[in-house]
Amino acid sequence: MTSLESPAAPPQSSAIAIEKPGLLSRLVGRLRGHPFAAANLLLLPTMAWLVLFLMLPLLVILVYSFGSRGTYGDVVLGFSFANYVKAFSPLWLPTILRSFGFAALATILCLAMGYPLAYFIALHGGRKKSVYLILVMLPFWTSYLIRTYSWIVILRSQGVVNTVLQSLHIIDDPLNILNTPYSVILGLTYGFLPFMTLPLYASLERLDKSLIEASWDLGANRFWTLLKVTIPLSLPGIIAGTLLTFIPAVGDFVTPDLLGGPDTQMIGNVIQSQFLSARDWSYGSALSFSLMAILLVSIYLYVRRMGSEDLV
Amino acid sequence: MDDFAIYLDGVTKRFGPVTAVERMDLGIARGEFFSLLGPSGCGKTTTLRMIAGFEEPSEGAIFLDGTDVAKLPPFRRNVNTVFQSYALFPHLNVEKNVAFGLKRKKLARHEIKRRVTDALRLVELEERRQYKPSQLSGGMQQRVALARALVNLPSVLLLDEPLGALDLKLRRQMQLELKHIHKDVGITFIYVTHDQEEALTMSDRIAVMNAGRVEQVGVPEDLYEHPATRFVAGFIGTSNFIEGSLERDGDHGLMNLGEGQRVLVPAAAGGSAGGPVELAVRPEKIRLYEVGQEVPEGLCLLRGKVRDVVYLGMTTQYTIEVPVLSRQFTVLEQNVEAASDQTLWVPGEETQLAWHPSHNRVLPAEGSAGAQEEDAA
Repeated sequence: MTSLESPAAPPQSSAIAIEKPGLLSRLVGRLRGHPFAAANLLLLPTMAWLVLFLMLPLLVILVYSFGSRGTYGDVVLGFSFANYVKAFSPLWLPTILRSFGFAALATILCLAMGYPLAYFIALHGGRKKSVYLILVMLPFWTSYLIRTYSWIVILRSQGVVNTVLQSLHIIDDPLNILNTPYSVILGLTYGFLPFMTLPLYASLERLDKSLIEASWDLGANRFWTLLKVTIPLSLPGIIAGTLLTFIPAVGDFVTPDLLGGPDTQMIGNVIQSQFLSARDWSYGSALSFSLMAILLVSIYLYVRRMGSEDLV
Repeated sequence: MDDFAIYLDGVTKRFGPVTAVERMDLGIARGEFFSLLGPSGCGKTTTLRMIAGFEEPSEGAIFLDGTDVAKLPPFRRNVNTVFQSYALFPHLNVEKNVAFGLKRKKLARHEIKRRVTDALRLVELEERRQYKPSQLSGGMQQRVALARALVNLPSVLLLDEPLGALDLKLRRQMQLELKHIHKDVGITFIYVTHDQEEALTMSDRIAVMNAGRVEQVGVPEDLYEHPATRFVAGFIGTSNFIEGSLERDGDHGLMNLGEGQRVLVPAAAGGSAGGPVELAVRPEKIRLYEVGQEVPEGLCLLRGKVRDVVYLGMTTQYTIEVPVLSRQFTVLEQNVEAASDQTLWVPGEETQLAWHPSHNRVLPAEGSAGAQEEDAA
């Protein structure tokens, strides 16, 4: 039986690596002893990327937000809360409320459409699952800008919708959809539907199908099974999907810019105009940070309410 | 049909080109502990799922308490299932899992509470009512699943290999516990298993299934002592199989094993004279005698040579070569004396195999060449 013992090198052989000169091999040799050393090493590129392209820009914006606008649109560094006082002034309150309202409506619509879609693909997709998933993601193959532009073609007075409805004599005068809150909410819903569908799909796919059968078996019909078993068990997907839809939707500026009108301005448009038209980078930065703060607080409250603290 | 809790009338289930269950007729009496026994893929689970309502039969009717429920969805049938994987709701605690079915029946709150408590007491889990399923051991989860189904007082309780995931000791214990619970509640149990020992231990009656068909239905002793087909004789326990042809000799059946060997078989043996049949003899029915030793009159007798000896504690299993039939026999002898005191047979020894003709079982031939078929479980 002893002959079965592995003749492979015992762990001490890593000491050889330390003996060799060279920075890398010394580093590797030193890390060998630690169980997480290799994993940490693998994390380095990601960490570097995040620090360089996420943390640093955020830091720059944070610093800017305490400065003020120079005469020629440059940033004068300083330390004043003036921008934040302005950001939280009642002036933007309607815009912020509108942004949250539009985003919330779009999220609810996405959930209402995405859940049945994800449910169908996950539980009844069969062999065509991957085909359906590709169809869900297909719009991503075109630029968001172009997809949003195409809605103008569909929704305008002489557009597809109005032409069809008029030729069928359902309406006499063209419907005024474009440049209204409806078109913005529609655009947001359309744009973010995949962000809702995919996490929902992931959590419904993982759902143990025998739990649904168990629920039926215990006398719960399809409605009660959905309410008491399927939805509670796919809650992580619902939370992830709503966050992935709501957060980018609140800050979106392309959709209200292209599909919206004068009364559909969202906070993203305000921030964009501060950076580009007004050239007040400090104020734009302060608005960005304020939006982030409000979002963080609302997400925290939302996730806590949904009873899934491990996501916070 | 009204006498049965469940009556399957010509039930067939096809999945595309595959027939999982073929023209099954089966009646299960009220209060019976009935097992569907067979190897995996024999259609026993599909049958159970059709009774539960998860699969709709392609043909045939399923009568539950006298009404055809074949087309009814599971939530409109008065049956409950204990799933193989337990399928406890992970987001609900033990109490809420058990109360799930009662809540849908819109019972009064105190009534639900009382029945949940009773059910949890039955499975001895009252103390764990606030636990989540993930906090319980496999055996406890199994008992919660049982309580969750029984609390609804179904006409029929369906159990789909409920002990499959438990270790042997716990299994044995749960088998007895299940049997007791069955006696206590008086509900019809339909139990699916591939474990013949489990089926024999617990069941009032067993249906042995193979390849989508019922091979034989009977009480455990009957299935073991009087198997109707070669499959049953090989699946429940072990048998020595010998091919031959059936002859008639007045009132007796006589089976020709070839090479001039003839054995007496029970007169009622199946098969027509001259047709190919198979003889099945259980290993423990055969006694070994020393060469030259007087063998009682009227026994079937063969000469052989010991090939292998396997000491199993309670018994010793011999493999014995019988040259005249050019096959091997398995013989099981009780170790009545202590192994050291008893002279065990040793490989190479010449011996005589003898058994009483009443132990001969004549089965329709299936054309399989194997001398014996090990327990397929």
